[in-house]
Amino acid sequence: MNFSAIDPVSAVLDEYGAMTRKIMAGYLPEGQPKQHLYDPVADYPSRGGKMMRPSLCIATAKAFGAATEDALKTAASIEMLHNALLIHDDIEDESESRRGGPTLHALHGTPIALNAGDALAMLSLRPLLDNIRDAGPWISLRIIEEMERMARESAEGQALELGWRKDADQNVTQDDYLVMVLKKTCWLAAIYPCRVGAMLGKRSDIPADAFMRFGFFVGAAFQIHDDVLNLQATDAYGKEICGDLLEAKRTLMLIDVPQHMSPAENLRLNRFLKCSREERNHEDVDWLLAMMKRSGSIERAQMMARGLAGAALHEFTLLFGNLPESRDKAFIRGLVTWVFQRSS
Amino acid sequence: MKEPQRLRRPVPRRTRPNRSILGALSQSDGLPPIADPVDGPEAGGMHPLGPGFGDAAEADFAADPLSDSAREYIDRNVRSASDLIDGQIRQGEETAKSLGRSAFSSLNGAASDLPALLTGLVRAYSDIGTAWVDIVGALAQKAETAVPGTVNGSRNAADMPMIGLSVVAGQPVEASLELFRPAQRLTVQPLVATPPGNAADIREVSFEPDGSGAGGRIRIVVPGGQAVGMYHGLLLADPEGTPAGAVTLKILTLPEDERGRS
Repeated sequence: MNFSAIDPVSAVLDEYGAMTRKIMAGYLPEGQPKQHLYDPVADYPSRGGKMMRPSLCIATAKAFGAATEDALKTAASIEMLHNALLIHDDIEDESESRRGGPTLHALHGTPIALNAGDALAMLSLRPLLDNIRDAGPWISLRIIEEMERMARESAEGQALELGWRKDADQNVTQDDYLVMVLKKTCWLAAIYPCRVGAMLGKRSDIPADAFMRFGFFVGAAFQIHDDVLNLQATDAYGKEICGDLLEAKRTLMLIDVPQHMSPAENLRLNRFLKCSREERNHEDVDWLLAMMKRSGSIERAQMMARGLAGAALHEFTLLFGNLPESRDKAFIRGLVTWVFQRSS
Repeated sequence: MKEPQRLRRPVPRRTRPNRSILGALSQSDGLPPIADPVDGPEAGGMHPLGPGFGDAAEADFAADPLSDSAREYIDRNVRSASDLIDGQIRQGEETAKSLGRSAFSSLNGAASDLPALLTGLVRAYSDIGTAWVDIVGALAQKAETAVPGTVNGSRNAADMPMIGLSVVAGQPVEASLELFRPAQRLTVQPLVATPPGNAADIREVSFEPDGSGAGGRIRIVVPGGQAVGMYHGLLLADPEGTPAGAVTLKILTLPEDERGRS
């Protein structure tokens, strides 16, 4: 069967996403306090989402020999933690919309949202503990250790980005950005799902650097494309269009554009970055967006994302090349290019 | 039956340059293209990564006056990113060590020292006369299913019955239980001394199934004055009568200062 001739990504995302949601629902409490805790906890998970992370975990596990059900609890845990971090990110970024609706703190206020995020993060541990029954204690504890590493990397990445914004840092380089993306995005989006999936499939530990290159390249391509989408998207995007500019989020475009500005324009950018979000106005945002377009910053970011995707495909061959062709293998490969086809 | 050898495929060779986008996508960068079809363009002509990334678009790409600089930009930045991730991996090894050492190394230690742990536990119980060590038998099986490289490494722990081991002895003993495969019910053969003939067999051995029928407890009663030494007993799956495990019991010498008191 020629698996490469089929685009399996959307179908697999739908299928594995539905399976993960079903398992995840069993881990979301329904009792009291409902209004101020468990309803907010279940809000983001109920809004959908791409389900890329849990699907990548399940597909990697299956590609390495596991049965689907072997990976479902881990996949549910990944999605729960992802949603918990989204709640916190939205608060930290002062974001206003998420998955087509108001952010949780916009709906319930920051204290309720923060508490719901904490609860969801803690609840995400339970499926991993339940893994012990299915996968045994040795692999289950290794997966929890992987989660600990991922959580630490993610927090470090978020701290880097928050620090740059707090200090209005204008000396952030492309390498700084990529390190931040590796930590904040790639670990949870790709490295961790692949690593724990492979552990479940192989029923053994894996090398310390396994999937890090692949996860970095695919995760960074995903993030850069996401940053570009934020500037170009339509209402289908689901998040606040140009919200990254209002938040002065350090993206490749924002790092690149000062190099193509006059001193006066750099001065204006500097003032813009030092403002709080409330102080920034749409006139400045429109100006900055125009500068990015005019200077080619967006185009260069797109090229960079595609280059990283190419490197991800190369790493894919090294990691999966010897595995038998399968729907899951085709899905993982397809995911690399899928990141460029999505509009939300 | 001898366990079949694990199949190992050769590790794919990392191509040169390390992670060049052009090399990765089978385009001409002065290096031989990668033969693996996984790296080739998608069916339909246009590469999924867009213009400039597939053979079908090669001519247009070359005619574009910006294409050379675009290629150079992409290649330089991907190489830079590749160096960056290699550096991060090296740094990350320290992070992983600091995070994982405590829990993971203690887990590994527990797995590798499991026999010592078992005998230690059993001995501690045996020293007070009667050993009820149900958890030990269960732990042994769980570890065996989870530790890679063991015969049962791929077996689902949930499938394994919970087999306990209790030893009644008036003198210090060390006992261990090994299961070769799952068995819901067992018959325990008398424990024979090693080498045979050195001592009387320990014949008061039995298997007591638990109420659920998914396991039970092996009970061994060591007669008073049983000779010091090593004893083994085979566990047979019931009713097939095929070997399913073994019990090893070591009767220890009492310390000199305690011998006079016993």
